[in-house]
Amino acid sequence: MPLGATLCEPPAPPRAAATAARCAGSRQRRERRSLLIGIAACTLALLASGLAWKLTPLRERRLAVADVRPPAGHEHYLAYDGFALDHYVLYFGLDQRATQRLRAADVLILGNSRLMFAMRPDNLRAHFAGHGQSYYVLGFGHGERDRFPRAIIERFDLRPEWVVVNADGFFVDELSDFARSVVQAFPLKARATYYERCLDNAVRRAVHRCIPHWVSIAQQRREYLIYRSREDGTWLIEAVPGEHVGFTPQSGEQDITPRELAAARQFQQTLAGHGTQLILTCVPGPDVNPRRAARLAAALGVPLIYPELDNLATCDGSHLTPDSATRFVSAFLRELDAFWASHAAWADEVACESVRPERAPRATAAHSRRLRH
Amino acid sequence: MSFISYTFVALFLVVYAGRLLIGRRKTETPYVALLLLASCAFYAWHVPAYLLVLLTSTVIDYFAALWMVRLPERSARRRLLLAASLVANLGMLGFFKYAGFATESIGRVLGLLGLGLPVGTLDVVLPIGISFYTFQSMSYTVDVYRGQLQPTRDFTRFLLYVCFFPQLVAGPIVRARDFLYQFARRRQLSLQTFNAGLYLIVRGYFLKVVCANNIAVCVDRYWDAGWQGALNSPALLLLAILFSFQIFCDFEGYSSIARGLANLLGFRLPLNFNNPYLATSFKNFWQRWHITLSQWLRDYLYLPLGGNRGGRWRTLTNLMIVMLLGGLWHGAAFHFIVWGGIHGAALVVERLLGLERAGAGRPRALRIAWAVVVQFGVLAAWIFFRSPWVSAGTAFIRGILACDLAAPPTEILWAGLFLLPPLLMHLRGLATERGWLPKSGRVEQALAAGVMGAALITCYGPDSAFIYFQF
Repeated sequence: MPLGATLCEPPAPPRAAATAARCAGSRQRRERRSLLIGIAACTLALLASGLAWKLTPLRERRLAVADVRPPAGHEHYLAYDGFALDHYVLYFGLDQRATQRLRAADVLILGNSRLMFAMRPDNLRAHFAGHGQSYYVLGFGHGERDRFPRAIIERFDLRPEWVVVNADGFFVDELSDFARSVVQAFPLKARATYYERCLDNAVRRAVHRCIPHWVSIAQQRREYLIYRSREDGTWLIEAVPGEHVGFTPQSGEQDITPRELAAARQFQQTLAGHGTQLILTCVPGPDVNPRRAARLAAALGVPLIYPELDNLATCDGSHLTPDSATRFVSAFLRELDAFWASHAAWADEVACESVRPERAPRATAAHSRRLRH
Repeated sequence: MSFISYTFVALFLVVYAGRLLIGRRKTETPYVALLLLASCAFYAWHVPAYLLVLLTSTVIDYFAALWMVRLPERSARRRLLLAASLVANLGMLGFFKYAGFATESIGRVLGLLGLGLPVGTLDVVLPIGISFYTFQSMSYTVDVYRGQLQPTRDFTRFLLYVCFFPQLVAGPIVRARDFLYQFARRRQLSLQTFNAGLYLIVRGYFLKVVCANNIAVCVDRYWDAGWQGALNSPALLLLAILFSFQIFCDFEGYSSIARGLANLLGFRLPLNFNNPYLATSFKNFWQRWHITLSQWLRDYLYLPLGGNRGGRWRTLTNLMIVMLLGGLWHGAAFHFIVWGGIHGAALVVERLLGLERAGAGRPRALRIAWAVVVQFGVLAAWIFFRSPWVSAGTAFIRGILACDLAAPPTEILWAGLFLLPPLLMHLRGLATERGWLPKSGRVEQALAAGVMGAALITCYGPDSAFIYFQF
């Protein structure tokens, strides 16, 4: 007998080996069968879901992700699909064109999602093109306030002539939790997150053409899909239509807190360091108090542009409907023009006297006074 | 990196391809290297620099263990090495996790004493998973010190034990003696292992993405309104129940995915949850909830404190200390300490009443009554766990006890639907434990996985991070 054979384990008796092989074979068959059962159960459940959606009145309930088509052309990128992608794009400069336009802007418009819903591109483009100025709307949703746009201004060393801020709860000197996670990310992670979300959007768009998302359908949750313009930063908002609700802006007196004032002053100082002047505005909403914005403007010594309009409505209890937004922006731009005209006249006057402008024009105080009373 | 991301899916597919191509026996060096590389990439995805923190902890413990075995068992130098390792680990944990809390608390105390001395606050980003891997790493040196484990000379294996990516961020907390030996053990690819792993993964994703995330929408929306007095008692009670299941689905979901992924990669991770809401005593609850943490606390804290060998009062004190520290482990905030304190106090009372063994030998009615008390006690503790601070938790409980009966908001009732799957899982577990039904077989698991897989596509909730990522 060869030596190797003595060192090996003794061979199993032929009958035991055959039994073991049979057992292994049958276990393998059982496992294969259970895998197929799982796949079949999943397929059947999805098929039943699809049929229950498409063949019943439930088909009337639409899903934004499946219904909304991405805008044609290359002007827009996906900015929000249950997750704010534009934070990553703008902070990390992931889109070259958007960053170029942001750097070139003479006027930056900052604020929250209420501002973004109000600043529709049609009026803005015609107006600023007429004045030979470039602008960029750098507002954010996701409860974002002053620190994140300030971080972008500092990161890219932006030097616009004017910054218009929607003062609605903007000055708190805080980053949202989401923005904190963005700022802490590194470029590769930011890029991966962006592409991952775009892929997620594409996958869900394909899947939910025929397979329902029962949670959205049952709750009739209002979904938004937002694309952002590379050219001017405005949002193209696509949503399943909702009920329009009228509102009257708050009119009671409301004090500004010392913290808010300190944050606003800090923001103003940052802008001054970039050679930029501040203008406040206040986009109307059911829980927005323009008097508070007026007090803040007066305390900072900056103009407040707030056109008072009646019969405004929101599409979801917070954001202006497209019609209301158009009316607001038209009136806002008219007042902004009037302010700039007065400012230009004042600047000319000052230039004639060869004095460098160091304080805001008188029109500023007049504007704030008008609102305060 | 979150399990719920395409980036993670891509990473895992690469590693699994490695398992199929270069790691068919699991013991091949290139495969182990690939696992290590993937684990480092997984961790660095959070904050790359924090990989250094993990490496520091690992290097210290690796060398401490190697030097320890060269020294006589009861020598002072051996003790010194252990102390150095513990100080280094706890120092890092303390700095990153508790320094901000400590400075803030000192500032508050000084303020109360009228000494408005300036105490700076530290705002440090917490290295993800630090509480978990520090405990793992510490358990290794302690086991070597006790002579219960031979240290490994292979640094790669030890590093992989600490940073094995399926369980790196939120456990289960694995012991070195349960993991290191697995490197030498061949585990061939088999359809049986694949199916078992796949089932765990689908189950985990279902619990997290469908149940926890949908419940989270409601809990996040209403919790603050709850303690601020804007909700009635039934709504508050339902909200507390919803949170108790949200955290179960969230954490058990993570653990299940981790175990499934490890299974596919050729490793076994311990069970972390065993139908915790079937617990009939507080002791039993900790045998079912976050099992690996409670075992760690038992072996490395409760027993070294003296366990139950120092008389009754010493035992009770030890129990209380362990639970308070367990609460603090979850986060640097007083409400976590209160959460641990409630559990500690409950364990003490239970032991005083002699009910810790699920009331064995006591009348059936008493056992059932105590089980109900246990569930309400656990629920009350969860309220403090979820609330932003202690007074918010007490306000929430006051709201429940006010008994102003009215129908809860529809959204809270609707979220109650997502309690059904975890409840069914608990009922199935109860039926198995009592012997009413056999353990679930392959076909039952396959059917369940199929349905859960379909639910993942049709009922997923909005994206939200795993709760235990913050610990």
